[in-house]
Amino acid sequence: MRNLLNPVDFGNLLTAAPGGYSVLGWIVALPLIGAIINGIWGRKVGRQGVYIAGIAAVGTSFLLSLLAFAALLKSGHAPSGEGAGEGAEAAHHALRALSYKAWDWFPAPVGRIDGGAIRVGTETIAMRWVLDPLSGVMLLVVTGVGTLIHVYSAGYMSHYEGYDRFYAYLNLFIFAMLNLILGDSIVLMFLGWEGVGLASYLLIGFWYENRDYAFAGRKAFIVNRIGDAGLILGMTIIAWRGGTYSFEVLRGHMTHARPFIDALNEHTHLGEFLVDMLRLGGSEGVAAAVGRLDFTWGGLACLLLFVGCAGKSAQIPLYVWLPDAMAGPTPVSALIHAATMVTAGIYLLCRLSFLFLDHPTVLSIIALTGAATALFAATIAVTQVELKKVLAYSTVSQLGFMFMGCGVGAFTAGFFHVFTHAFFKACLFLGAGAVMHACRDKQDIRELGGLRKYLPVTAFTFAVSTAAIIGFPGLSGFFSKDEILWRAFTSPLGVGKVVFVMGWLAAILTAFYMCRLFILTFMGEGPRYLLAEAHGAAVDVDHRDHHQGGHPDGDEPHGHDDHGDEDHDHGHGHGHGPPSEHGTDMKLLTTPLIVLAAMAAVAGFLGLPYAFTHKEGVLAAFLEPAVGDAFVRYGHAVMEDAHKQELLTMALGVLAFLVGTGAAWWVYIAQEGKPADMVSERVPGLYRLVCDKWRIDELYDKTFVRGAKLSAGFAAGFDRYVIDGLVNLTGIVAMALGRVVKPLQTGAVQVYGALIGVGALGLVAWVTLMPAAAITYTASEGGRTVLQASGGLGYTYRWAFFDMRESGDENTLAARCPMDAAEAALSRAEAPTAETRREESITRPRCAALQAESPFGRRVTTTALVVPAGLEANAANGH
Amino acid sequence: MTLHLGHYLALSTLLFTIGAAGFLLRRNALVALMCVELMLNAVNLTLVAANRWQRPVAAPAVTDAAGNVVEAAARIPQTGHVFAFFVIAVAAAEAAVGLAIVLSFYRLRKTVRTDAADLLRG
Amino acid sequence: MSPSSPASLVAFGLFAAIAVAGALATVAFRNPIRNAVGLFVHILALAGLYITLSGHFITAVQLIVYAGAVVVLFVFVIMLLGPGSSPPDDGRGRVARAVGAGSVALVGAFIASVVVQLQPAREANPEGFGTLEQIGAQLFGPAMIPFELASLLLTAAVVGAFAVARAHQHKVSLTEGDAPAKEPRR
Repeated sequence: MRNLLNPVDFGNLLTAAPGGYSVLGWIVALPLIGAIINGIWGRKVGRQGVYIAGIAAVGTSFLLSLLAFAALLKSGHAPSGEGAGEGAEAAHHALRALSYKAWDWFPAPVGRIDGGAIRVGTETIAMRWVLDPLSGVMLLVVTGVGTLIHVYSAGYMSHYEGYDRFYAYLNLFIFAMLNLILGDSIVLMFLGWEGVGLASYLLIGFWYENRDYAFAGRKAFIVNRIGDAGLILGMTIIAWRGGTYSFEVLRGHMTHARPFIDALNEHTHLGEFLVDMLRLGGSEGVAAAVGRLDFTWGGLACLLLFVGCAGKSAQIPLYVWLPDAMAGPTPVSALIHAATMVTAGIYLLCRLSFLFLDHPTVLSIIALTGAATALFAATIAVTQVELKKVLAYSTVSQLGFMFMGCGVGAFTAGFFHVFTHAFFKACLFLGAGAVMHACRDKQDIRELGGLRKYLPVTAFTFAVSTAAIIGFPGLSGFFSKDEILWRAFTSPLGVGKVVFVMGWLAAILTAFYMCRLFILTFMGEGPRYLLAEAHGAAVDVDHRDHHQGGHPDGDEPHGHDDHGDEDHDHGHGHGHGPPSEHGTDMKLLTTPLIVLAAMAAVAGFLGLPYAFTHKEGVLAAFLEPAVGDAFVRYGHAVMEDAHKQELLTMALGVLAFLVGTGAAWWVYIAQEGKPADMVSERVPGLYRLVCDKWRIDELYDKTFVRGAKLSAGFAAGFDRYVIDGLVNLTGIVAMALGRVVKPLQTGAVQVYGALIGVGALGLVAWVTLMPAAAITYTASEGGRTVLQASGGLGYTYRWAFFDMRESGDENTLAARCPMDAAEAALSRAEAPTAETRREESITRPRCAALQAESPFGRRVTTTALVVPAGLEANAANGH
Repeated sequence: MTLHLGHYLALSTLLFTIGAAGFLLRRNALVALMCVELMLNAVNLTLVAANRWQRPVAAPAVTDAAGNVVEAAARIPQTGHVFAFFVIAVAAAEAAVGLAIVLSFYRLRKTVRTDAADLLRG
Repeated sequence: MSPSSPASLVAFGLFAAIAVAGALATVAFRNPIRNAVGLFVHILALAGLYITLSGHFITAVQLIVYAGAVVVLFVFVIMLLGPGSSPPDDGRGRVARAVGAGSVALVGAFIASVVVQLQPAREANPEGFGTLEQIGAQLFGPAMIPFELASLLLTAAVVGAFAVARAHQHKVSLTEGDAPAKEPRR
């Protein structure tokens, strides 16, 4: 903590100081500081202040990230992975990285393997951030795109209230995302993971006055919780059987520590019951198949972690929240729900790639899930008519591609797609936002059109990004997508070919729906809603817009009145005029678009295919020490073989691009949309089904939501009638008993006194009539011992002393001072006395016997072993 | 026959029992207070009687002016009497406050019957 | 008086009988004045018993404080309240009272029969203690602090008696349970 607060040591900016590389602390802390400033003093500092604070916090963080990245590059060279054998393995393990620990957080329980058994140990979770190649690239993407979107938001939010809240949330998101990326342990990553979930929830429901938007936020939160449950379980298994929370230490355990590897490879036998049942049912074959699926603990952990990733990264079946998340402001959709947060799942897969690579079954599941998601979401995107909805399903589809890449073992390829996708998808979303900003928050592509004349910069950047996503040869998406498809095609995994075909079909659909989107929005005759207004049908169109706009009072055209004074000179199309790109806020919108489009165009050159350069892509080579790759495991021959097929898959990729684009051109330009109408008329059932997103939401409503509600209702009823009934029953019983004994409470104090007196009398009578005796003594040096008898009123006591009996095996009072000896001694003893105190000289352990006689002649005898002072130890040993 | 501590204790017991019974059974607050005095007196009798049969304590040896050690005679303790004195003091205070309460109660209820004080009734 | 002397035996028997009679009178009579007279007699008898126990100082205090002050205070209050304050009847029948008295007598006899056996093995201390001088040495010696605390107690009792007995300015009715509770002041 102290290091963090110290002024940055400028001499050490590029090298790690002994205490760690403190710039990392600043990178993480700055957005939090921004969030605090905007969250607490946002109203005070005003609109300009909020913009400056928010952008400066993230912008500075970005500049420091560049610095840190430079320091990372300077800190050493990536080990050359080729043919170095053991040496490469060692160098691989000694990953170059910069780290900074702010403080120790808390000790957490982990598994410790101790002679074959797993015991509980502890590991200190630290607030420690690590910059390695993987997190370095991700850091640049997050802070870079984040900065651009913060700038963009200044323009976008210019006519909305709540800008301070918005910027506080955005900064909070960046802070959480940086923890997710840079955290050195699963726990710190999980902190960030939940933090981005929270920020996402807050921003989706940013316009919470609108019920649907608030529900969308809640939906995202709840669906993510389902995934998080898996993530937590997976984390727990890893901590239990992998022995650590730290990524670095886990990698060490997985490469060196045999006991941990064995512990993770142990079979869970969780499905044995099912297998036995199947066997009993006679289905030997099915039982064998299920039995083969018996996961190891490591595999189960991977599967559970994948569930978490699927939730965060919107994969089947947990993708349903992402399209609804478009309820948030468009910059949020771009930053959180397209470029950064949703890629956290892929990021985690890459982070733990060394673990996932050991479990091909799980990888196959991941690949199939990713491919299915890619294809499925692409079909939905084809029919959507809202700008942001199309882009949202496109995002789901592209995330599917990334999972596909990770699933076939090409983690670097998957991450490469994360990298390129961040640019072009952010650019697309921001372009959509610019269109909406300029066109009165309209986003139904049937009402738009011809915007390239009014919004040339937006149209151009949108075109570049579209070209990138559909795989126009030479642009970034072309390289990253083709690498994934190629790796799927050549994967030795059984599912490789299937995944390839699904991915290829999804690529065709991607090209088709993205071109459709672009054509309907930017090409053709001028905005159709303006044309319609010119024909006097404005009311009708505006009405339809009501539920789809990204704004709570959607159909209210923005007059200049509600902007505040500083916006008065704007000439763009907020009002009733045609959309335009003039004015300060439109400048703020278009500048990030240009940067992002440029990145979308050139980012692909970081991963040029092997077929062109005959070496690994720059990014892949850079990532290799941090991210595992199935290629390394397959061996040289497989790689050689695979490289031969690279040109083939690339050609297929271009073919997909051509087919999709051509189809879009034919349908929407050559035939002016007639074939689309024809299809919707010919097969209305299918068309409606796809248009309604295959009615998956409705299916979930009918099954899971309804089931949950039913069980909740049952639980509520159980609570109300059974649990509450029990509680009330105790109350009723107590009340009934109270009513029974109430008359005793006369209120007359004398009666109470009388009752107390009777009780006291009873006690006195008891101790008088039933004699009891006990001996206590204090021994002092020299053998002088004072014995004390206790008894009751009117007692007389008779004392006797006799020698202790030496008993061989038993050492109890009954054995040492037996009762018969006591009686014998008492019969010879002196006369009884009323005194309770007696002094005796006892120099060796002796037995004392006491006979107490009550005034009514009842007698009782007790014995005690009296040990002189200094001899207690011997007596205890039973000498 | 010789008088013993037991005789005094038995007498004291009787007096205490009479006082306690009166306190518990009489409904007149004034009489109840008098019964409290009876009980306190019974206790006083016990204390003073026990003092008569209490074991003497050895007095510490004193050195006189000439430097000779003088063995003092065993001293009979006065604890019972002193204690009884304090009990009397407490009894006086109790009577004063008790009678004040009775007066106050009478002003409220126009009676000194203790049955009238039944706010604690369940 | 030595405990074995006939005089002390006679004195003990006489005073004990008077004390028990006085106590019974205190408890049994209906008229409060008679109860007070019974208490007075009882106190005088106890003073006599203290003399047999060599309690010179305590006898004097008994006469001054109890007979002189406490009993007078009782009589004073009885006069103040007047005869109407004490109902003539206790509201219980003869049988109930007889049973009550009988059981009390039994209990007393039982405990007394036990207690009378408590005989210390030693002789009674000789006369010559419990004088004013010796008690005074105690009170101003080892018992100094309790003695001063007793004065504090008496002062508190005086103030308390005054506070409780003085006429209330605000009528507070105990019959109505909903008397407004005053906010405790800190």
